[in-house]
Amino acid sequence: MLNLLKLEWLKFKNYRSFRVLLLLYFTLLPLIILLPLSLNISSTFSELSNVTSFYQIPNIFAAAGYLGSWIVFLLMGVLGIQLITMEYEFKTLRQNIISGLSRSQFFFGKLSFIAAIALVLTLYYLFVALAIGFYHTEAIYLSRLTKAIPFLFNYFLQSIAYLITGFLVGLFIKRPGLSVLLYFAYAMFIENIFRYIIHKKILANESMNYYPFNAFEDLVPIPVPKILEKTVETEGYDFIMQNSTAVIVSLLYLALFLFMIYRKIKTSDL
Amino acid sequence: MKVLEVQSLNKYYGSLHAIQDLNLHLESGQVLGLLGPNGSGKTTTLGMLLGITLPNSGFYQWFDEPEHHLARLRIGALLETPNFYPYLNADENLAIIAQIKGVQENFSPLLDLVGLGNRRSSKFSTFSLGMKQRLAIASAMVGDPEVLIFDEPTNGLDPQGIAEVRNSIIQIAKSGKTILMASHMLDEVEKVCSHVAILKQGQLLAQGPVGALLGNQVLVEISASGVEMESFIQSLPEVSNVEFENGIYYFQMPENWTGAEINRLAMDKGFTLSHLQLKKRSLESEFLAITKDN
Repeated sequence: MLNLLKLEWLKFKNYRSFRVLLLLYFTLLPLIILLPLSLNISSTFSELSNVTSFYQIPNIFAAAGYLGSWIVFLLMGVLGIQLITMEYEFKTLRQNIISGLSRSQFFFGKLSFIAAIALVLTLYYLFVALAIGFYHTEAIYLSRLTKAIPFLFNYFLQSIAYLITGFLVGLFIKRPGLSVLLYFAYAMFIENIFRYIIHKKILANESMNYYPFNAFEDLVPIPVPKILEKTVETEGYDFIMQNSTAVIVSLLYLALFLFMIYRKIKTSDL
Repeated sequence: MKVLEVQSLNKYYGSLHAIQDLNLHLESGQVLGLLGPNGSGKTTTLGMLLGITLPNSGFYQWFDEPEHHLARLRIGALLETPNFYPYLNADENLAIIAQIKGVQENFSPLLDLVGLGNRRSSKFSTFSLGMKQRLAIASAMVGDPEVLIFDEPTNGLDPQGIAEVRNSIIQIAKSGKTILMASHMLDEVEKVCSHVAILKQGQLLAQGPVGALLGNQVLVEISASGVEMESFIQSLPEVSNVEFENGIYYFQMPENWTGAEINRLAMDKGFTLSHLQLKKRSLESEFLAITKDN
């Protein structure tokens, strides 16, 4: 597996999109986390009465995770697409197989590379959250630090989810531009049309939450309880899933996506 | 030693039966030319033997190795256009192949061999067509494979390039490597190959030594056990291009000979032929029909 991971690294370390997307992530993550502080957001939203409390440990893990998840969604879907469309574009998937890679090895190489990227994203999130958290917190206790662990797991799973979903789209569409368009069109419009216009009309209950992007999004939800409570009051159920539900639904979608990816790689002429 | 065994390989593209019950064999040290016009299934065949095209039915095996991808580690191939990562240089692209093959080597001798020694640090995207082709030949040699596969290796090259590539292949063959090469050019196969398999519309028309298959005369195949065949064949009038393979003698005779006459001469010597086949002008005319299509 390490050899397969090294192979992917050799392919991508000098690939411009790869470098640019990771660099954007490293730059944008601290910026977007600090953005609410500079916007004086408390006066607009009464729910956010004391915005600096979000920047204290352990609250920072939820806030940074939620804000960071937008960057991950925007950048890592595109990277996931690039991880496979690049191999189609240069016909190198074909060449890899001819050179002696098995199709399973190709799949597991990509999967381990995706896991490695998600790990880097998560460790950087931890680093940024800790740095900002230490700055805003007077007393640090180990018990507060350990509250980060579930957020790390969810953030890691969410990163994997966006990368793999992008990969799935890229694998079937093959062309990078069209794949990116479809990824965002589905995530931002198509899924919401299904949820709020079609599904909610037929079945107005929690089942309308069980869509892939919604599940991935709810892994690291908006950390403002008052906003969450509002939908329960007006609709009778929550628009945001319980964390355990979000994890299970996400894992089920990921299992399905990975099965589709594996099958496609195993059974198509290249 | 047997290098490749192909049995009843079939490939369909929708309703098109692209490869029909293909049987092939390749022995160590042979240079087998896969000859046929464009669209006859040469690339599809090589694609199946290299794992990128999946056959609908049939069987193939390299080196008695049941795991195809492990066998491919021992094969170097250049299929159609050279495929590399354009943003990586020559060295880095070869390093990726070496990483897949699980070998570590210094690429200088290889790059010098194909005349790219001084461009090893240039990105692949800056290479000319000829340089790309030469890097592809170098990449096929990474890990010193036992078998080399070339698909139309001289396609798109100028006459000097064609001569260079042909000479390289002959040199590689002399070093004892087994080569499988697809081509639509009869003279190329005659110049480079020891054996030929003729493919037309997905069907194998014939396979055998080049001299025996592509001559002007009638091709005779005979075999019989326990007798001095060599001296019998030499006793026949106007015999040429005698070759022996897999228990069968191949040779050429003038066209006016018939199977009955050969059989009678054998009977006169007091033995029975277990195999006797005359391929009259049919193969030759088949081949002319093939080449006319181009």
